[in-house]
Formats: sequence, structure tokens, C-alpha cells
Amino acid sequence: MRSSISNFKERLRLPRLFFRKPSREEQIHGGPPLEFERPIPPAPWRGIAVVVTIVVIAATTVWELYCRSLGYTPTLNDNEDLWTLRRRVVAPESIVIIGDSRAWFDVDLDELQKGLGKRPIQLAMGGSTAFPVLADLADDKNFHGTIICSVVPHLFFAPPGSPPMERAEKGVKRFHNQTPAQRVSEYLAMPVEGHVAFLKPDDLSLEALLNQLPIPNRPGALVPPRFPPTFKLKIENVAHECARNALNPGAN
Amino acid sequence: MLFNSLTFVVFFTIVVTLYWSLQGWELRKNLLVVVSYIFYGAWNPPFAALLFSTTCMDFWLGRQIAKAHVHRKRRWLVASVCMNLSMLGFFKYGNFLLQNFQWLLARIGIVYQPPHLDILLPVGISFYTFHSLSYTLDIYRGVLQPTRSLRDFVLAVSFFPQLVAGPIVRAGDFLPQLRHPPRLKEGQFFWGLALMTLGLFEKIVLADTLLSGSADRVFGYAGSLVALDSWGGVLAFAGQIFFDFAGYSLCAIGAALTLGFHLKDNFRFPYAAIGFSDFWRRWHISLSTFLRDYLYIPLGGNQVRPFRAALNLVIVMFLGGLWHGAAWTFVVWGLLHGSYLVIERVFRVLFEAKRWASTLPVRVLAGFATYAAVCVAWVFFRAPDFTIASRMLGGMFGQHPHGDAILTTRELLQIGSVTIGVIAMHWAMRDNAFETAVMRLPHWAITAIGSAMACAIIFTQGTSNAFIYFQF
Repeated sequence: MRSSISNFKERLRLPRLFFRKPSREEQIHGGPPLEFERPIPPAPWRGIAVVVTIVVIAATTVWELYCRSLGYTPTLNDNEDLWTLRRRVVAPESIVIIGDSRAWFDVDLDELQKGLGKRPIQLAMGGSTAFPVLADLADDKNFHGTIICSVVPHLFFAPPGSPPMERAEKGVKRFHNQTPAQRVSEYLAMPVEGHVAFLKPDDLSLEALLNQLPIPNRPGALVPPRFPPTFKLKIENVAHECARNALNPGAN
Repeated sequence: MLFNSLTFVVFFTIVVTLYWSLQGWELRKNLLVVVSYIFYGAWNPPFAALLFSTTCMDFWLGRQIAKAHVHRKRRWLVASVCMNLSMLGFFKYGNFLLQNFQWLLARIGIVYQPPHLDILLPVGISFYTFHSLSYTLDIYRGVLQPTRSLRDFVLAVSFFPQLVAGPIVRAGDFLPQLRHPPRLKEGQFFWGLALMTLGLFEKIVLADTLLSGSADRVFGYAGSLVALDSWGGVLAFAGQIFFDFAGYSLCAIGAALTLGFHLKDNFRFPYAAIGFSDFWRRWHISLSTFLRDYLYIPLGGNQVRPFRAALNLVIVMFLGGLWHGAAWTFVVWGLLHGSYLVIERVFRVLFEAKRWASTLPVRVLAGFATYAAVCVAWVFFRAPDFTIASRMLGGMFGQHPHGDAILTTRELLQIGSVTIGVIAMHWAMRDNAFETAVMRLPHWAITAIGSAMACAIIFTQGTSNAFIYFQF
């Protein structure tokens, strides 16, 4: 005699799950307590770990010394988290500098502080448009200070989706959406970046180094220009040199 | 908190040190619950409360299912399924459903402007919903007894290595491991660290550094591309998504091992699959077995008439596609895989008995055909909309001979070498366990490979890019 459950199932055409016992295959895969253990390959893992640690420390030290010999020194990385850190200190009456690399490299905050009476907050980003930052500050109801904006037409009016626009938007977005984990990461990264010279993603990361390989591109390929090695290091040095000469005319 | 971040390195070091310093097993489990919620709350603290509330509900519903008589059991199960799926539906599919509702109304001439719900997607909601749901489903099926400890169930759902991007660890696989304190086998801790190193290498070096830039540029390009660049972008994404997700899974498995827990494989050399059913036995295994056990088999599996069995496959893959994201491109990706599986089934009926079908050249050819078809499906997975997907497919199949070339020679070389490398590696190891391959290596080679990977991770200076599967 057929059970009332079977009739009910047939009437409603419900999935079998609700009425039948699991098959043997399901018993294996479907969640009964399994005595599952991952295999551990037999090897002297402790010794291997020690040797790997020594090799990694040695290689990192050699790489650090080599990078320092090229002229790199420990500096904080200019990324959206660092920018967010500065953006957070903007007070209602702050003087804020926004814009591109001109405002970033060519402004001496110490001199401005002497002249303006208070230290401006540097929010300019190299190779970016000021527009999203300007819009964000304008929308900030707490802010009614002064903005010094660098305008380079082709950067300021960069179209949506272009790298200058994306760079600035990334910073603004991070400021509004930064997670506690990202904030902690930045605080942890700063002391490391302050002591290690090779942490330069633009110049010394694997991607940047691969990009320096002298491999010719296909004719007609629409590829971004390749900057020479240590380009950023050089322009930073030039900026510093220019600023020093401007402050001490005739000192050179 | 991302595995590939400095915060995680510090967090993990503190957790492991504290965990193995504590003497009592109950204390250790309490510690794991607390740190798992810190791990999750580090993204968005309020969502930890959501995670906790859904977990508590499933704990309670699981007990009700176990206590209830046959007919009432189903009601409690339906309540659990509805609760979990409605949570997923609201956060993940709310805007998607509204947009489609608006579109449908527009078809019959009704103009409706839905409010845009500013919903923030809780990270990993698709994963922890399935972790939790497996508990009530298994209790209902009679293959799992409900646990008496809410703390144990909370830990099973929120265990930090697998919490946000899998593998989808079923409560039935994890809860038994909480009964007794784990004892580390010889080498288990360092093997766990080795797996984490390999996982981070796959993510930071292979996925993020060598492949993601090319994939992003190709799929983000506004114009038409020549075939070489279109294929380059697709192959780059095929490699990127594998290394990204398999890397995360390895980190999760490795981190769990260092704490004494055993999680199952989530990937088994998928790009050496021969056929699509084989592919799904190797790709995201925890999801494919979940869908098989809780959806495909209940629908009748292959124990029904051929047409119904084919329909079951398509339904399962449709929902599998939708699980990945609230967009029609994901649905098309799922449907494509569903159709692949149906076509494969037809081919099996027609040709499986033929002797030539099992010869090596045919198997290799079938393997490459599988890989190519999987890559075609990836176009819909990666493309943000159908315009870009169709432009990409047009480029891949030679419709834009005068399109643009945007990939540098270096990028093409990177994509080519990584693709050849991953396919060769998968074919070499397709019938072996990863551990077997490691066992066969001389110790100096393991040391050299481990050192090279660790150095590459440090020198790459990854920028803490999120894992792709975090968004699902």
C-alpha cells in the first residue's frame, strides 16, 4: 500500500529531497560526520621552513641594499589610504591644496605656513584631476575653509573613466568607504614604508620591473608610454632641487 | 580583512600564538569565535550582527526540524530556506529585481520608476548563507544531528578562513571537528603555512601582477579589438579567476590546517578537464557538490527521463550563475554551462561506446575544446554588460580584423606563458593529488620553490586587491 506521503508528493510534484532518504552517495558527500583528514606530505617541514626564512631574509636584505645603492630611500607610498589619512584631518577652516602634480611637487608647505599663518593640507595627487576632490569638498557641509586648486586644463577636464579621473575618484571613494581593516593596514604599513626603501610600487614592484624590459611592441599598438627607470625618483629629486634653489637663490 | 594584507599577517600571527597558547579546548573555540567576528567585522561591523542573527535563527530552526514530526519538519525547513534566501535576495538581488520589474512593466506600457535601494552587499553573504543552510538541510535529510552548542554552530558558520569566499564548508563536515581538540600531525602546521604561501603567490603574483591588468584593460576598452587582443584578455581572465579563487581557497585550507582543522579541496586542476561534467568536478567543488546534493538530485538528477534530466542540469546551472551575481550576464554564463553539460550528455550517448573516443588524441582534443568553451563562457562572467560581451566575442571570432591592438608585447608574453604553464601543470597533475606531487619532489626543490614564491610575494608589493569572489 502506498503511503500518504507518496501520494502527497505525487500530487504536488515536490522535489524528492523532502521525502526520501539520502542515497549512499549523498551519505558520503552530503554532510554526515566525516572523518576527513588532509594528507600531509612527509618532509622535514620544520627544517625547510627555517631555510626558507633565512633565504627570504637574505634575499630581501640584498634587494634593499641594491635599491638604496640606486638612490632610493624609505618614503611613504602615495596611495589612496595615505590620501585618506590627510583628508581626515581637514577641519572646517582648513586651507586645502588640491590638484595635480604641479600642486603636489611645486608647493612648499613650510613656506606657505609662514605666509598664511596656518599649515595647508596637501590633497593634490600626481597625474589626477582636481574635479572629484573639489566636488567632494564642496559637498562637505562641515568644510567652509579655503581651497587652492591647481588647474591643468587637460587634467582638470579629464573625461569620466580616464586615468586622471579614476585616480582622484579612487581617493575620494576610499575616504568615504574605508573599512577598519584598510585603516589598520595603513597604520601598520607606514612604519614599514618609513624604514624600507624598496617598497616603491611605481618603480620597484615586480610589475614595474617587468614593464622596464626592453621588449618592442607591435607596430600600431595603442599602448601607454613607458617611463624610463627611476623616472619618479628623478622628478622628485628635481622638484626638491628646484624648491631648494628657489628658497636659497644663488646658493648653488 | 584580506589574506593579502599586512593587517592579516599581524592578525593571523596573534591568533595562532594565542590559540596554541591556550590550554582548554572550550577556550580555544571561544577565541576562534571572537577572532572570526573581528575578521568579518573589519569590513563593516554592523554586518557581523546580521551574520550572528541568521546563524542563531538556523541554529534554532535546526533544533525545531530535529524535534518535529514528519509533516512539520518540512515547514521548519521551508522557514529556514525562506529566511536564508530572502536575506540573500534582499541584499544581493533587491535592485536587480526592481530593475527587471520596471522593465517588465514598461513592456506593458506602465511607467514605473522604482526607488534605487542604496543597499550595501554584506561581504561573503552568498558563502555564509550556504554554510548555514547546509545545517538545516542536512538535519532535515536525516544525515546530521543538531548540535547542542550554539557556540559550536556559530564557529562552524563563521570560521574565519572560509567565512567570506569559501570553500563552502558544510556544517556536517565542520561540526564533528569541534568535538575533540585537534592534534597537529607531524608537519601539519608548516604544511599549512606552505599552502598559504602558495595561495598568496597565486593571488598576488600570478593573478594580480601578471594577468589582471591585461584582463581589465581589454574588458574595459571602449572600442573594438583584434582577435589576438580579445583572446589575450579572455585567457588573462581565465587565468586570473583561477589563481585568484584557487589562491584564496588554498590560503583558507592552509590557515585552517595551522589551527588543526581540515577543509576539503575546492579546486582539482580544472583546466585539464575533459568535458564539462569533469570540469565541474574540478572547479569550485564545494559549490558544485552543494548544488548537486541539495538541488540537482532533489530535482530528480539523472534518474528521470532524458529531457527532464537535461532540464534539471540547465535549471541548476541557471541558479548557479545567478548565485554568482545579480546580473543577466551571470545568468547567461550559467545557462551556457548548462547547455554545455546537455550537449556533452548527448555526445556521451552517441560516442562513448566507440573505441576511438577513448584514445589519447581524442581525449586531449576534448580537453582543449573544453578549455576553449569555458573561456568563451568566461566572457559573460567578466563583461559588465552584453554590449561588451558581444564586442569581445566578435573580436575573438575575427569580426574586427581592423580593430585596435592595446596589449603590449610584454603583456601578451605574460598571458601566453602563464596560460601554457597552467594548462601544462594541470594536465601533468590531473589524476594526482597535489600532495602526491609535492611528496615526489626532492627536499631541496621544495625549499627552492618555497623561497622563490615567498621572495616573489615580497618583491611584488601587492596592493591588497580584493579577491574576485568577495563580491559574490
